[in-house]
Amino acid sequence: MLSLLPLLVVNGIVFGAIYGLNAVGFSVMYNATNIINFAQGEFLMLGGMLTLLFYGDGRVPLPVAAAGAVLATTLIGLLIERAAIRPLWRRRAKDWTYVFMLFAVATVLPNAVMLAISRDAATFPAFSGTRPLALGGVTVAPQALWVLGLTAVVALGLHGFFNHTLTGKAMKAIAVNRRAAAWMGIPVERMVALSFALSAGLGALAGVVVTPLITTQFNIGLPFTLKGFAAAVIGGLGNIGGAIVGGLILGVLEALSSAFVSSMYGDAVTYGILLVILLVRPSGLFRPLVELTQEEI
Amino acid sequence: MLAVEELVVAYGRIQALRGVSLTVGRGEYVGVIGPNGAGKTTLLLALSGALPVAAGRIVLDGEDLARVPPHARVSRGVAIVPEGREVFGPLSVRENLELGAYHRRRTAPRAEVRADLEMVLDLFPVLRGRSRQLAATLSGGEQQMLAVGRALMSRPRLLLLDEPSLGLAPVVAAEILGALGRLHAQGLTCLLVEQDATLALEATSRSYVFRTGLVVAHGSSAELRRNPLVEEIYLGSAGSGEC
Ligand SMILES: Nc1ncnc2c1ncn2[C@@H]1O[C@H](COP(=O)(O)OP(=O)(O)OP(=O)(O)O)[C@@H](O)[C@H]1O
Ligand SMILES: [Mg+2]
Repeated sequence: MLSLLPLLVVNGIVFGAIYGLNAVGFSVMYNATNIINFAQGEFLMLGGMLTLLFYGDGRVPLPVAAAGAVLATTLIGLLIERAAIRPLWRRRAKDWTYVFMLFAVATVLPNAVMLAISRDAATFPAFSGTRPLALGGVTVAPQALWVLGLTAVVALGLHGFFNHTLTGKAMKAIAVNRRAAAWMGIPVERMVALSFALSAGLGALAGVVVTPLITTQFNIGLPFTLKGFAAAVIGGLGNIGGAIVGGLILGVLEALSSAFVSSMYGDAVTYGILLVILLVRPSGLFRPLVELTQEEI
Repeated sequence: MLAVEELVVAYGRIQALRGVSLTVGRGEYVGVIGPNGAGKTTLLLALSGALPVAAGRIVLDGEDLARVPPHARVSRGVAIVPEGREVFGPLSVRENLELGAYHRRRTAPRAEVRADLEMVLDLFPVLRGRSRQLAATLSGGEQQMLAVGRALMSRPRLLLLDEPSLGLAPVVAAEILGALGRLHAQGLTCLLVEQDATLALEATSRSYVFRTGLVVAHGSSAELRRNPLVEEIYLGSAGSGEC
């Protein structure tokens, strides 16, 4: 059993990266709006399912279908913002109303996909074949490297965005103090829309790279929402690096526990870790990017 | 440059401003004084677009600002140093200042923004050593300087200031008002709201006295200093529980 350890860890890291990618989507939206997006996992589902829809059985080249799916999901994100969030925002609704609104969205989307696309689990070909690569004693699927690579690129890109671009800083400013942000000339509503577009697009991208590894289905969104949220909280909500690290911790511990204890306890492990971390460090392992003081809340 | 005509602003059914008119000319340094709850902050919030106007007009350089959203007012040249500073606590001092220039991101060359940043750091040297520090970790006086600096980064034509001396040690308040005085001498138009009448009437050349949402007196600040009404208002407010 112990000889399996490296393989388990590698698998854990790959899944952890997926959770991390999802967690990053949470973080982006949280950094701009303080909204916890309970539809985040649905963007991942849409990324995979729409790619399948466009791809057919190879009618359209895979990269084109994937790009189309990411674009379409981004537009859906914008639509959700415009139709479901902005009206609440304009009426200065309480924070929990957003949670419920997005929860409603998270219920409607999978049903719509089930009716419009398919109710079956399905997948499309891996990007660079399926011949396993040997990496220092363990073998990994080439698609896993795509997952890890994308995670790294997204994490670095977002870190740069929030820390080194004026638009990224303006997004953080909106989460801290909407009114003061407007005084700076920051178009608050447009920024919020941008954060929805960004987290939807990132979610879809994650869906595109993971589908060849895990297959996809209309109902895979919710588990990813919960895992992604857990990873984001563990890493310090809003902290991009933290989200990835949180995802990796979750993924590895989950892989180990399902091998050494029982796969039945996978979720228990996830939420057990979350419980302990929340009790010990309520703000997560790393400093949230936008740490709100009591007064600002 | 600014004309406020019969302005009415209400919070629900309560009218905080009940028909206020005032003007600020180009290059002027105008004061607004009055006791707690007089409507001073409400005036500045309405001017900056943070509060809707129930009646009356705000005219800036001939343009009615009614339909200009808050984020577009800064491009018209209106910047605010709000009551309570409202700096972006979780962001660094430098980021706060950079955001002050947000509305110029497409129009101003980088070098120009950087030069303005240097100007602000020269104006308030304590901020220079703290530019990487989070704004929330600054002292009250430093945060106030940051709030002023952030507003200056927009290159305002009209600077609105809401009690910049509040809660500060007299030397710090004097430093900030001194800096504002120098900026005014260089041509900046300022509207200074202060509860501390002595301070405001010394700094400004012309002032309005507010009470319960109305202008009850206005004139040159030097004259107002000798106006018995001003004294009465302040004794009155001191008697009603302010300590
Ligand atoms: N958010 C609000 N909701 C309801 N009433 C408000 C609100 N803000 C202010 N008011 C009321 O409006 C009136 C004017 O308040 P404002 O803050 O403009 O006074 P101020 O002159 O700035 O006072 P201070 O010197 O204490 O800052 C007060 O009677 C106040 O109670
Ligand atoms: Mg006030």
